[in-house]
Amino acid sequence: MEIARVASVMADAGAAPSGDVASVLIEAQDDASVYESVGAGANGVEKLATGFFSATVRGEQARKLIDNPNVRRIETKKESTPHLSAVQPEIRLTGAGGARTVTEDGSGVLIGVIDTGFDLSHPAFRDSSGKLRVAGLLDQTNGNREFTTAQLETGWANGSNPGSDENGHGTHVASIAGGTRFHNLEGVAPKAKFLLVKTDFRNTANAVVWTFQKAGAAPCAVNMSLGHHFGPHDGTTSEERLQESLTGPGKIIVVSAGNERDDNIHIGSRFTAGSSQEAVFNILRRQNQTPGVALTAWYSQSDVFEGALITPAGQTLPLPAIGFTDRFPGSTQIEISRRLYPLGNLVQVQIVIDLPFNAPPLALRNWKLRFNCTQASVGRLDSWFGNSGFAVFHDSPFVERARTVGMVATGKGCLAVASHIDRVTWDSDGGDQQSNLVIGQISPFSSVGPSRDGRQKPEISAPGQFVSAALAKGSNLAGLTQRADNANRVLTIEGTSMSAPVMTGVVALMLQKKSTLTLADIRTILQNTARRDANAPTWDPNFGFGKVDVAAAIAAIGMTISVGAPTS
Amino acid sequence: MRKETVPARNYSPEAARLDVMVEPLPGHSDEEVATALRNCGAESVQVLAPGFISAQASGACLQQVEDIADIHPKPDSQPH
Repeated sequence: MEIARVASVMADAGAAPSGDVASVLIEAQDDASVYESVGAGANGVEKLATGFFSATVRGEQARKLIDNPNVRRIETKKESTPHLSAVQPEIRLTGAGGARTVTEDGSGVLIGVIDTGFDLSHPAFRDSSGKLRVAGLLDQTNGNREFTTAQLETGWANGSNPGSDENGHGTHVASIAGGTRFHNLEGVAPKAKFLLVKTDFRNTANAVVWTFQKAGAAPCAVNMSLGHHFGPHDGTTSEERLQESLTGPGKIIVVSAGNERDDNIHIGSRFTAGSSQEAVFNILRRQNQTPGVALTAWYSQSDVFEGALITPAGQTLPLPAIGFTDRFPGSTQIEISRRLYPLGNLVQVQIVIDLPFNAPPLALRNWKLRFNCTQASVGRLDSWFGNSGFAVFHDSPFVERARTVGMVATGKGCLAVASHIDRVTWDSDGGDQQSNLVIGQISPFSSVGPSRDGRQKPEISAPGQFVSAALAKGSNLAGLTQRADNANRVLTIEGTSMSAPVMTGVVALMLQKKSTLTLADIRTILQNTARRDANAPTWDPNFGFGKVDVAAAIAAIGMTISVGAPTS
Repeated sequence: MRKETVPARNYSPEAARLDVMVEPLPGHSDEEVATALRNCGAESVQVLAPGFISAQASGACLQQVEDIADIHPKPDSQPH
């Protein structure tokens, strides 16, 4: 049977088991198992990611791989047809024959990217002469170390690889905004220069400050394909207000709206005096981490709410009085606090639950939150888990898709970008892939507006579904057989993380045309030029002002711009 | 369940180290707050923009500046 499997593997690739070769993908428990079977340093063996290898093998080597108990899987690479990214025609950056519709290419503009890291060996980061297009890099995960272009060139030549991308997300994001053409793919602003921050995902405000300081007088668009839900979602947190003070002529911040549309991360409702609502939630077990969750709830200081957290064992823990925290120590630790939040004239309820690592399943399920309104003026209460992946509310009328745009995308000093579907086919190491999603619709994950305080967020939608861009070699994402095309260094993934850098690239083109454009100018232009479906309103909680149209937006810059048009 | 009730803060006074954004209260300057933070052992104290100071500090240190500044722990973001 094992011999038959070897033959099958080889025949799959059109090779004979005796002496011909086949290109295969190997998934193994450890590196040694692969090298043991095919020979260390064997020609054509490439480690793609932890546990994933690409190799060219002969029949005997394939047999050894199959016999090796530490090799989980071996499969032949599938032939696939190139599917060009549909981003550029979708945003009207290219027209018939693939020619660009605008002369702007990002020259003279800086694109800041705050993300997981960057594979600067990828051709997307290098110009036609092979030189890095990166003006500087800050590594927040390595003592806030800064690297100049020369230091990056040296580091990536000698293998120290400063700012490297173990995840793969940042490399993909940056190349969408401004990658140099490779394998028929090109970023939106391929002649811009990059300022890159490998972030710790906490000091993101510092990252924006660093980027704008490095940009100096040059126009700069900063991309943040990240976010959280720990706050009031009204633009009043310190980071959101800081961004308002940082943005200005030629300094624009673009943030992904979030992927929490269907994550059951938010409850919200209007209450009348005497009404009550209850929400049930499960805490999720996370790999190698203790289960737990933090949530916040927000209501107007002019309202009066009481409420309680009810444990799976049925213990009722009432909310403390305003200004106090109740702590319940034990193997499961619970902390419930209630305090005034003067910036929004709100009351903030905060609940933190930490369970032991080996908490039984019953301890994770059927937690309850109950809110009773005893005096209603505004009468609205909203609550979010701090981020997705920690806990989920059970379906109920209290769960809302609306107001799931993340923070800091809800800030007044940035553009928040939704994602829509522009393609349903792509290629990968696993062969041609196809989805049954419908082109033109909003992506099934894209967070929904408005902000908690009713402002128009997101502002705009860009393609973020199955976006093909640079693959970081050896990264976690390189091991996704259905998404990674390792030979061509292409990765196809989706998220508002992917639509935001499309928009960042568009902003870079706009700043090239007029370097003093402000956020208000850009909002006005987008509002006037975005494509909307028939009968769509001027602003929609899914798409914002509509789908971005580069050619129209650039053309509008030459016309009269009414500065400072409000968005809410 | 045993219960302890303490004044509500948006940070833990027992924390060994927190990444925070600190905003001087009216009548107090960036310099005054930054100096107070450094004096109680805070690290990476940086005025990011007028009125916004980034720092890493213990909960005990932050308690010493809460009369002159608002303290906001920095939440963790996730890639989208």
